[in-house]
Amino acid sequence: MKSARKSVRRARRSSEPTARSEVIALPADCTLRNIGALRDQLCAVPADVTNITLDLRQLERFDTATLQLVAAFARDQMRRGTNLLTCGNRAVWDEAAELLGLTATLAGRV
Amino acid sequence: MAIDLTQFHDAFFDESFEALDAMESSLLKLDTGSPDAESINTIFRVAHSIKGGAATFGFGEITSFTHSLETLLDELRGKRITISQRICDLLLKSVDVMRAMLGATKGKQPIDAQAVADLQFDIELIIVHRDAGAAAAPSSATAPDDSGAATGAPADHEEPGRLVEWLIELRPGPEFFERGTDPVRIFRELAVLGNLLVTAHLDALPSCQDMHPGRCYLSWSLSLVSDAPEAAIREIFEWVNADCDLTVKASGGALAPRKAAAPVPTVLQPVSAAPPSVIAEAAPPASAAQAANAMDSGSIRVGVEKIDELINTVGELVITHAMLSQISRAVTGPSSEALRTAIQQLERNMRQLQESVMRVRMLPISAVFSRFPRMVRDLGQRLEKQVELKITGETTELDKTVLEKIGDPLVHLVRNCIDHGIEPAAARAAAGKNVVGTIHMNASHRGGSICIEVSDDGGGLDCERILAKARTAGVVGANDNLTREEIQELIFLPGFSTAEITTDVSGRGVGMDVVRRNVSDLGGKIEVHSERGRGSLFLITLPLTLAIVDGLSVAVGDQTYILPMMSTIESLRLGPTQVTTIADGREVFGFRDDYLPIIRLYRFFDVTPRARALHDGLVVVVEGAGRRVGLFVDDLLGQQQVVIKSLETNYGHVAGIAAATILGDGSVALILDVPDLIRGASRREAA
Amino acid sequence: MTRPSTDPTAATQGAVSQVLTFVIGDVTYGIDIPCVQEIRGWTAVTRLPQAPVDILGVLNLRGAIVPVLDLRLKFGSTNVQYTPVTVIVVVSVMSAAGAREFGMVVDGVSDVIDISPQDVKPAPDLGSGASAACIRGLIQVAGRMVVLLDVNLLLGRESTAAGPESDIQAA
Repeated sequence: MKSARKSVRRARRSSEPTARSEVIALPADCTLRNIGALRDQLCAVPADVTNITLDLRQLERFDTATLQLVAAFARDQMRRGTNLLTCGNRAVWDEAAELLGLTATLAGRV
Repeated sequence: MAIDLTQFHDAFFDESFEALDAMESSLLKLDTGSPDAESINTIFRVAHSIKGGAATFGFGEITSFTHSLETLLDELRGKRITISQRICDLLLKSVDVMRAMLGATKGKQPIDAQAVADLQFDIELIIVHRDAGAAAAPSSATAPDDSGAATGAPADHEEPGRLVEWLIELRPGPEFFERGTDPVRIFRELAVLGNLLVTAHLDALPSCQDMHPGRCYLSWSLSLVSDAPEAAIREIFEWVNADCDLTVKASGGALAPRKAAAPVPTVLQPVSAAPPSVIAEAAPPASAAQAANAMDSGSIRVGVEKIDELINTVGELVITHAMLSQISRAVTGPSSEALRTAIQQLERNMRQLQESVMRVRMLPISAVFSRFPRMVRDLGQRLEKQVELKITGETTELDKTVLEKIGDPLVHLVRNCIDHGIEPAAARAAAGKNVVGTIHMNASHRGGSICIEVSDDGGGLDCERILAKARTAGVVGANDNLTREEIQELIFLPGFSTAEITTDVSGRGVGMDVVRRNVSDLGGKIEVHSERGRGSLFLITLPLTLAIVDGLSVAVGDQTYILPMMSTIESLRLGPTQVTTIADGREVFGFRDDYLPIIRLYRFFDVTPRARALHDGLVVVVEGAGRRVGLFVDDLLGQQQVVIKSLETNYGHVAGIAAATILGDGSVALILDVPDLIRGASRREAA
Repeated sequence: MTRPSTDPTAATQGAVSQVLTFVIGDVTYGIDIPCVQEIRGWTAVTRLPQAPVDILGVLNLRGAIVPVLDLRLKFGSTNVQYTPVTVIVVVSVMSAAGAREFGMVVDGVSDVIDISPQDVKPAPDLGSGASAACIRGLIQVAGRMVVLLDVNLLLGRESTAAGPESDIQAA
């Protein structure tokens, strides 16, 4: 299990939190067999990020395990108050999320 | 589609093609006057399986088409639509369309959407018109059993057309994903059946950091409002692996827990839990086409390479045994007898092993014969000939490779029979024959070979026309006299066809020589026997196996050659008075009412022989290229099985030589190609 | 001595390459090491009918049927002996149909030498002798000349008996 603070850039610690964004691009294959790599990628996001964007444009293959992982991630971020967005919105992603009942979680609502 | 299932595609395609064959078979046998319920069921299951698999892999067009097809078949099996010849033809066309779609998808080519749409439209039209007919209230029961998935639920839940809300609880174990089930695919299938509402339970889901991403922490409650029968819903869960708790119940209905092995006694069939869990534990879901394979639990799929390796090893064993046998003959001393006995026992064991291994690769010829009923029916219609096909011996087994390659020659033979053999109905009637012509295909094992016969009761070969054409082409001299057999053999020459009108089917004249070449490439031979006015018979003889051949070793000078036993008739010693020299130096001898030419092998192969006088050596009568000849050799050395080794891989073709083999002493001996030898010798004599 | 066969054309790509040298008469020849499968002592071969005079026949190489070419005959020697020290060099070449193996009979093998492609001089016009067609070039090594052969051209078209056409010609 990797430490969460792997990022090279360090946030400036000041009394006013500055808005920080991070983009995580999902690779083409995020299925069960590559899920470990994706988890490491997600866990590597520093805790003080305020906006996280999941870039789905390169994504080609994913399965329920992928959505479960992203759901866990989304829930973690929601509890921290981070905004989670997805870009490269793919209909297949949304449809799968709907089928698994995870739409609300992924949108940060549950 | 974004899900990675490509590794399972091949199995899906293979099984779907097989299932379509079964569907076609059933359709051809269907008597539309009194349709057999089991056949319709079979056909329904085929469509359903293919639809399931196609949906799983995201092949949208196939899913959509098979869905319409399945709907029609469901109506048929529920007897809400009556089968007719037209519907039967439509269903046959669907087989073709599905084959094309599967083939296109497999080959990553575009699907012919127009053809699909047209056929789909016709199918939908029939479904729609059912309502206009005497559509009774949906009260009739559907088919009693559905590949083991029927379960105990009150009978009224089987009625299609009634909306029922199904409550489904899926609680997977942690290893659910790793065991190969992907819930999203299952839910997608369910969503096709009706209105699906999914609630996910995340209470067990840890934080991203703490979770093992390959484990399943989610569970689901689903509500499906659908008019599908319960069997359809249960069937979707058929290949879900067993690492979960699953309940499917109709809201307000009885509970029907699935994981229990004990069947729930019901109005309908008791549930058989065995098939689904066997499939689940065996492997990740490979395809949906199980319905057609309900009987198949006793077999496994094996890659051809594994079997080939097995056969190679057995071949090497044959050689090693030959070596041991040879060495043991030279051994003397107290144990030598015991040694020789043991080696003989080894030979018996080896033959058994060999036969068993060979049988692994053997499949019944029905796999090839089965495409002919359809072909004969279609071709007969196209050429306006009335033809009926009789098939016997379809359980005869052949080696897989031979099976794959014998199809084309057989197709050509049958086409020829329909096109040129069977006369038009009027001509047949005038000749006092049954207006419907018959083509008979038969396969049998005869003395270590496989015999395939294709015969027709048509007009037979016109020897005069063939001879005339051969004379015009200069193949036969104007004054040459040929026997009827020799004339009939002429049809195997390249470019030969006496059809007056070249139809687009056969008659382009490229046929029979290619057929012969295909057959001889398989180590076999083909002969024709025909009688004018009565019909023709084509007889194909194939060796039982490709890799090992029974051979007769002969000595010519210091060389050893192997004669395939299949081509050998008899061997004899000729007395000085039995040989006659005719005209241009050719030698012939009398053999069973015939005069056969002699080929002096030492001359053909340019070897210094031990014996030059014919009565000092032996003559082996062999058969090939439609003829018999006597091969003059020094000696017969014995009979043995030899493993065929290719000469062409590293060298090339040698006239009269089929291949090589390795003898017990490690040396190489050449295996003779009798037809090639006979043809070559007559060419040389002619020069 | 056996070596796995790799793509023989790698030798021509500029790096130092290794060459197996052998002697026929008093000429030293060389072929690229990657083609060499094995070196065997002399074993009897089975004659092939209608083969050219330099193709002695075929032998059994661990279960495969491999033709044997007598290079000495091919290059014009007339009086060849087959003694216990005669060797057969088994080589593998790539053809359109895949890898093919054949054996070459030579008087004896010498060393393996390293050569650089830039040291290879083109062969002078040696006329149309059998050897000329398969010569890749010449190189001077330690005072002697080594004739480099292109193995792919050794077992040329005329060495493999063609099919029915040759029948008709012979008839």
